[in-house]
Amino acid sequence: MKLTKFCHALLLTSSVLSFASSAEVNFSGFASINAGKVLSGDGAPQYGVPPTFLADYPIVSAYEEEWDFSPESLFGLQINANLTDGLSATAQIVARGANKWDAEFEWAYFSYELNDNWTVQAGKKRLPLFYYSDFYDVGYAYVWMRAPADNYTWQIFNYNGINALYTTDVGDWSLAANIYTGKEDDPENKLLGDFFFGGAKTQEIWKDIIGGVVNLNKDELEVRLTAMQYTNERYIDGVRQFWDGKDSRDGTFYGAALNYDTGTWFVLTELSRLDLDGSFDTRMITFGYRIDDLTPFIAYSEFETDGEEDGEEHSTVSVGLRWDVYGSTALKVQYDKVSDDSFDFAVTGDSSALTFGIDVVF
Amino acid sequence: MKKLILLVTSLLFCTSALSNVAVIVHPSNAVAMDKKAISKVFLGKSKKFPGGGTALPIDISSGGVKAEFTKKVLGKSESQMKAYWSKLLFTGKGQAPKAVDDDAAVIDLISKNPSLIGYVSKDSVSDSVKVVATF
Amino acid sequence: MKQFKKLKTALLVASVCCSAATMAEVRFNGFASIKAGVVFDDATDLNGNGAIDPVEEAYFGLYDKDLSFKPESIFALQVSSDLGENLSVTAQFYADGREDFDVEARWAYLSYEINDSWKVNLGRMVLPMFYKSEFQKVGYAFNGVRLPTAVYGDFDFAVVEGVRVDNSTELGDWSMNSSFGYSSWDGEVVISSLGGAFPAAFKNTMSANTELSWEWFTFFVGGFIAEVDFSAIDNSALYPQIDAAAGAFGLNATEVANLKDTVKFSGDGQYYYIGASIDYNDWLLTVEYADYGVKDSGDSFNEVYYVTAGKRINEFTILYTYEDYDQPIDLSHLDSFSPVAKQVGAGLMEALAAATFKSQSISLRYDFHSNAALKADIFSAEPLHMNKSISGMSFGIDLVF
Repeated sequence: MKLTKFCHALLLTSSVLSFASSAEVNFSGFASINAGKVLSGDGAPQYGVPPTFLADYPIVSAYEEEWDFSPESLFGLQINANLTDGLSATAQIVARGANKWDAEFEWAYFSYELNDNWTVQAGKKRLPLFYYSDFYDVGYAYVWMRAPADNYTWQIFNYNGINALYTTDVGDWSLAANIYTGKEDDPENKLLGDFFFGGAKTQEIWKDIIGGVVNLNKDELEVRLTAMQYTNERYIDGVRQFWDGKDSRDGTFYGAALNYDTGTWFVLTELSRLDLDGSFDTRMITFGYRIDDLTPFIAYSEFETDGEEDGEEHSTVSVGLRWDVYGSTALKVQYDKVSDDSFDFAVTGDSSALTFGIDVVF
Repeated sequence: MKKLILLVTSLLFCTSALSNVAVIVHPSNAVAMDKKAISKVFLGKSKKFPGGGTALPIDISSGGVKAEFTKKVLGKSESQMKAYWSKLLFTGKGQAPKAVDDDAAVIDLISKNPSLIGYVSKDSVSDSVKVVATF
Repeated sequence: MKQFKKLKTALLVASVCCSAATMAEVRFNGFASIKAGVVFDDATDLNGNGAIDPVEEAYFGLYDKDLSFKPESIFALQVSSDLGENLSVTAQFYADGREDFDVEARWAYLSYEINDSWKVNLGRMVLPMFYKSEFQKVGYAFNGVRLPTAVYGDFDFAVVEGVRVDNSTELGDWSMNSSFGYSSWDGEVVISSLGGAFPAAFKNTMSANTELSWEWFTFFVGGFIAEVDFSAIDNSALYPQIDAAAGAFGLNATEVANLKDTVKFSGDGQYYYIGASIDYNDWLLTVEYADYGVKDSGDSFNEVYYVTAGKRINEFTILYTYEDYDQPIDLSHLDSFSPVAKQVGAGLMEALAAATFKSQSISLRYDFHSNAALKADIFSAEPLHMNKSISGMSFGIDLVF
C-alpha cells in the first residue's frame, strides 16, 4: 500500500472527526506471531515444489523444512469511526509476513443502520463464503492455528460492493442474514500466479457476484447456510483466458456449517461445493474439549474434485492445543498431516508439519 | 568536622537558594534518593527505589518545571531526552514515563500510589506528598 | 462457558461493531523525516568499473545534481497496546522514498516483560547489525543528517523474524543493556558488481549485543553469526565464470571444484562491531569499528569505521564525521592452489570486491522545536586509491511525535 493511501485512511478518520465533532474513533487490532516447519514431506517434484506445508492457500502461507516465522505472522489494525445517526466507517489494515509485511487494506467500508433490523454496508469487505471468512485473519477468534486449509482454498477472498444485513429473533432462535453483490478484480493473484501458473502474473476477476448468508443460532446450536454466484474472467501475463471458447465462465458456490457447543465440548462442521466447469467439494469436522484454559482439539478436512480420475484432491488430519493464557492472548500448537492424492493436480504433496504461535487481540 | 558542617550548610544553602524543583513521593515512602538515583529512575535505567520497591516515574508534559528538572537532575535538554526515548521507543526497548498535564495532577497521582515518584515546582508541594530532594 | 465468551469477544473485534469498552488502549507514536540533497559533481561511475559502487551508491545512489526530496524522506507510525500481564503488541508502519513510499510493517512483535531485568520480543524486528542499526531510520534520535554510510548502509537483510531477549542490569554506577537474538531472513539481495538481485537467505542467525554506560561514557560491542545462503549468486554468477576460466586456462576438475568452494559467497557470516562514545560537558565523540563478511568466501571481509566529534551549544549541535570503508582482499585461502588457479581466483575476487571509500562531513543540528530538529550537512567522499572526490550537501527536518 502506498503512503498516500495510508494517509488517506488516517485523514478520512480525522476529517470524519472534524466533520462531525460528536464522532468517536476507535482503534483495535489483532496480531499473530506464528512459527513452523515441515517435519517430513514429499513435495511435488513434478512441479519443482520442495517439501512444503501449505497452511493457507489464498495467501500462500508455505512452510518448508527450516523454522520460519513469516508465513502466517501478521498484524492488523482496525479503525472504526462512529458518525452520527447510525453511520460508521471501518477500515482494516493488515501487514503479513507472507506478503513481505506490506501493509494493505483488507476492509474499508461504510455502514449505515437503517433501523433495529437492517444495516447496509458499502465498500471493500471479506467475501463471506465460509463460516470463518469474516475473521479469517484473527487467529484469536478460533481454536485452530488457522481455518482448515483444504476448505478455505479459494483465491478470491474480498469483494467491493454492497451488503445488506438483517437481524431478528424468531422465537428462541436468533437470525442473522445478509445479501451482497459486488466485484473483485485482483491484478496479481498470489495463489494462481505463484503456485498454479508458475510465476506468471495472473489477473483474476470475479464479477457479478451475488450471494446470501443465513445464520441461525439457538443455545448450543448454530447453523449457517450460504450460496453465491459469480462470473470469472482471467488474464495470464496479460492474455485473456478462454474456457470452451468463451472468455468467461460462471461459478456457483454453496456452503453449510453446523456447530454445536455445550461450553465444555464442541463440534464444528462445514461443507461446501463450488460448481465451475466441474464440482469441487470440501468437508471439515472438528472436535474440541475445554479443560479450564486448555482446549485440545482434533480436526479432519478435505478437498475433492468430483468425477475426475486425477483431480485436485487433498486432506488434512490435525491435532492441536489452544491455551488461553489470559484475557486477550492465546497460545497454540498444532500438528498437521496432509495427504495430497493427485499427480497432475498435486499442490504440495504429502507432508507433516508442526506450527505454534501466539494470537492476541487488543 | 566543623569545616564539613560548614560545607554541608553552605551547600544546602546554595541549593535551596536556587532550588525550584521538588522531587516527591508518597508520604509512606521512606526512601532516600540522591540525584543519581532519581535520574536512573527517570531514564528507565532502574525500575526500583534504592530500598527495593517498584518505582514508577511520572513526568509532566511541558513547562518550566520540566525543563528545569530535565536540565538539573537528568543533565540533558528536552530535545536530548526526546532523542533518548526515541531510540528506545522505536526499537522495542523502552517507553518514556507517563506524562500528565500539571503539578496538581502529579501530586494527586502520587498521593494515591506509594510506587510513584514525580517532580513539581516547590511552591506546589502539599501535605499529601513527601519531598525527597530539591534541586 | 468462559472460553466461549472470550471467543465471542474476539468475534466482535473482527466483525462490524467494535465495542471500545472491552478494548485495551491503543498508543500511537511516530517519526518522520523530510530531507533533500544535491551532489555538486556529475560523475556517477567514478572508478570506471561500469557499476555503481558503495562510494557512488552512498551519495550518488541517494542524490545527484538535481535537488531531490525523495531518497531520505521517511514516514513511520507506531501502534502499540498493552495486553495486560506484562504483554504488549507493537507494529511500526513505515514508508520511505527509496521504496517509493510503499507502507510496510517494519516492526511487528509481541513483547513480554519477564521481570524488571528481562524482556522477550517475538516477531519481526530490525537486526542489530551495528550499534545504531535498530534506530538507523529515526533521524531525530541522532545528530547527523544520516548515520555514517561507511557503516550504516542499506542492507537487504536488515529486518528479520525471530526472537530477541533484552536484559538491563545495574552494576554499581554502570548500567548494562544487552540483547540476544535468534532469527532468520529470506528475500533478495542486490549485488551491484554482479548487476542484479538474487534470492538469498540468512539462517540460524544468532546475535549478541551489549552496551555499558556510565554517566558520560558508553562502551558498546556486538555481532552476529549466520548461515548465509547465497547459492543463487554462486550458481548463476560465480560458477559460470569459473567454468569459463577453466576452459580458457586448462584447469582440471579438482582445481575447478576447489576454486568454486573457495570463491563461493555462501558460508558462515560473521558480523562484529565495537566502539565507544563520550558525551561530556556537551562535547561529543563517537568511534565505531565494524568487521564483517562471510568466512572463507570469495567476498573478503569489510573493515569499516567512523569517528564523529562535535559540540552542543544550546539548541545547536555541530558535528564533524570521518568515515572509512575498506575491503582488503584476502587471498590467503588460495595459497595451496596452482599458480594458474590462484590467478583465476584472485582475478575473480578482485573483480567482485566492493569499491572502497573514505568520506568527511560537517553537519549542524538545530533543535528549534521540542519535537523537531532542522539539520544540514556538507560532505565530501573520495574513493580509496584515487585522486578524485565528490561533494555535496543535504538538509532537512526530523520529527518525532
